[in-house]
Amino acid sequence: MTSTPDPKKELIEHLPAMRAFAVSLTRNPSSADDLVQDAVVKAWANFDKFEPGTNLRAWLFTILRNTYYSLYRKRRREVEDPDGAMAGRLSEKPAHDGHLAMTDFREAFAKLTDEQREVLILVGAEGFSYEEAAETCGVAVGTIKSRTNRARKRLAELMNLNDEDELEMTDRATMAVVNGKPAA
Amino acid sequence: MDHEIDENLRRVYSDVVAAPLPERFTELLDKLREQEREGCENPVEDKQ
Repeated sequence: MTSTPDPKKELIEHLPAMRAFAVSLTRNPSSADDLVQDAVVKAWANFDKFEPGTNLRAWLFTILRNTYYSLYRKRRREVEDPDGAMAGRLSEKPAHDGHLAMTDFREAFAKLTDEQREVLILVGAEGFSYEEAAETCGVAVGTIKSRTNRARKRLAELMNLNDEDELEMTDRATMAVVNGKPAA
Repeated sequence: MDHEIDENLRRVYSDVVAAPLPERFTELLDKLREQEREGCENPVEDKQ
């Protein structure tokens, strides 16, 4: 058993991903870091319940999302920023990286429900299997699949709405630059 | 479209993952370790 890695030592390697997951849930970088801090303290107190050899990141994400749903979702309603200035931001972006298409994407993403953002991050960005995502969220695999499909569809709809508003920014050449792929 | 969405997701996500870790987290881990050491002044005998 001495070769089993110590999850307490490994924790730090998962902090960047925990922060990214937290930002996508809270849509606010400073609440996100508070959320990560709370989740880390909770995880630390519960490491005896972690089964060595299982997916530590999924375990940490479970704690993080449970913390979010039990504490932060309520709190956020109370401190909702009236101008919606934060709503469109997944994170603070440096000015020079202000591709409008990515801004559109961030804004569309921020309009999704908590469950939709969560499932897209887990499955689409983090690469969790449907089974891992189901376990992390405490729901059935079928629920994760249908949530993922609905979330992708909704995101596509929201981005198309933006396209119509800002046609000049969505021409092929711009999309090609943004996507890093040659124009078709 | 799904592929494009996932690509955008990964891009937005990896921007945050790549950001430097604020000091508060390394400080937090140091504090937790220290608390643990203090709590271990009367350690339970290590099995084995």
